[in-house]
Amino acid sequence: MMMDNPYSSMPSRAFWRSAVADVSPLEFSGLYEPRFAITRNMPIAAAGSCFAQHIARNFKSRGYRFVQLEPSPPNLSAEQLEQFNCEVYSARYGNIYSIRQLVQLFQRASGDFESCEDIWENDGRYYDPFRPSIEPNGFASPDELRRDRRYHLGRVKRLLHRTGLFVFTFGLTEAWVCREDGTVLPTCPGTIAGSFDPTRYEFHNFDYNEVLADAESFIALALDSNPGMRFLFTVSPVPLTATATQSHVLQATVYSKSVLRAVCGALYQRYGQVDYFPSYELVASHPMRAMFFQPNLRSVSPVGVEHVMKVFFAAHSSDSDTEEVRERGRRRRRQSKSDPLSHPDDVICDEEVLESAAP
Amino acid sequence: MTIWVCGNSQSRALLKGLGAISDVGADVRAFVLGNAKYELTDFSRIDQGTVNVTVEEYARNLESATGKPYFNKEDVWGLCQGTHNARIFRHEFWNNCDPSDIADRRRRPISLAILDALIEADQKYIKLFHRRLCETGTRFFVVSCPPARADHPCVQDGTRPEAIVYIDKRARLLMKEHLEKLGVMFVDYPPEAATPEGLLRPEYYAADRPGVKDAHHANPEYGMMMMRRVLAFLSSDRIDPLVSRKIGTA
Repeated sequence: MMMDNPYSSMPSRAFWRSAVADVSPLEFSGLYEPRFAITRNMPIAAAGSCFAQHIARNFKSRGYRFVQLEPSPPNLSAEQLEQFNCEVYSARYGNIYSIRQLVQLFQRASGDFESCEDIWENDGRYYDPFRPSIEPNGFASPDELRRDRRYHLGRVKRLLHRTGLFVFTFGLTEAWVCREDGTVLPTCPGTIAGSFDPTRYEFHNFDYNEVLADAESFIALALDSNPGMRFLFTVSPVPLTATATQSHVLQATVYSKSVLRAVCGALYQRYGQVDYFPSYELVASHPMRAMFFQPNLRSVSPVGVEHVMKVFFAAHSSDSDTEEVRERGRRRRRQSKSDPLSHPDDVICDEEVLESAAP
Repeated sequence: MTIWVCGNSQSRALLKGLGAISDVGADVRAFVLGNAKYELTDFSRIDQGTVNVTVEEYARNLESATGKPYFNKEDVWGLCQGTHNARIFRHEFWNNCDPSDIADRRRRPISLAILDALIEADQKYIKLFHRRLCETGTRFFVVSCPPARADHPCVQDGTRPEAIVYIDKRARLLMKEHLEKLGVMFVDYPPEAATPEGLLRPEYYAADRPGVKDAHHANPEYGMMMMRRVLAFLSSDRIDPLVSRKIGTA
């Protein structure tokens, strides 16, 4: 007869055999149990690496109150909106791969940090080093760029005050940094734009302590803006495209994701306002057998994204409100994209057309 | 051969204006093809070597005016479309935004690249229509819509008149560049119809209808001025050799 021990009363999800080995990976239960409810009237902001785009898009399409401080221009196609980074996140900051970059973004917005990095120029077009792909072909002039950046940072400054839940997807530990003042850049100069100067930029691979400290700095500044703020952290399952370390890219990826995952675990333990959603585990852990990756074993397939989102939103919705939520999303999308074929002016136009037919 | 001047509701002023001109000379006629809202859809197609229209309203008016359900290649077409730019600047988006070049510090600056994308989204099916006409060898030129009006309700809602002018001018420039690439002539609005800023002079505003403000059309006086320019264009030697040779009116 087995003696009582701490494992005796643990639920089935605590045991590998019953939780993983004996069930289909599509049917893991209890993998995500929300620490707090995410309600549909909770203002939600999102930032992070590219995987965060899926999360943001799903919050919007499912009728959640997604904070949008730089709304998209009218009548552009979905492809064009994506090209110009419109409505991808809560403001047009583009992908934010490291949490120090996120902290510096808010510090720049509040005037607490002035970076030595200003503008990159390539072939007569001007790029914002902090979001080099925000305009696919760069800005027309330095002035145009600065005007856009000034407005953008003004919106970012308001973001935390208007947000109840901040969703951040940790992407990378590797970053390129300005030697002069530690400015963290989202991309290596000379890749998307800019030019690489080893006397000006250096590589930095953040370790656990640095990422944790930066995450805690972010939490502190967010709580300072809104003491009721909650946080949802995830780790992107997307591997590194390339590493600048001397390691193999697979080893570098595992290091990076391990650090980020460990930091999320520590934050979850330390802060009651923090929840962790296991998108990384749902895609990249070995029980998933890489089934949600594209053949390059890097890009997450649409089916994988859908699965992750299904797990997340199933945990936050009851069956009864699913259709209501979807209808709300549809309604919002209809409202936000007022029909270009229906405008009061067109009533006048119809009148003109009708009158022209009159003898 | 007939020279047809037609297009969206802005061509009604041209129709009225043409009616007031006694010395037209050539066989020039005008009609309204239909509401400009359909210009945001793929309203044309090539069928058996000619261009026809997919929008019922356009098809009805085209056939009713010309007797044919397509743009007859024996005729010449003056198309009043592609510069009705109220559709771009009247959107509430501009209530708080400006084109970056003229942006007020308190408003959101919109880069030229985004503005150009917005304009392209507005013009793309008209440009496609033009390309189809060229592809089928249908002879045409483009007649300007009147410049923007300062009394559009969007101004009361917050859109700056400076932004309206900027957007209107930029959209016209892009349309002209497109036409130039195709080798198609553009007959611009009479300079005297516009204020120094580039807005339609109030004396050329179309009258309001009972209970309905008309904030983007021009009146028959404007239409007459514009049609005189069209007629002058048709009889001038400035016109594109291809068009002039085939029209035979230069």
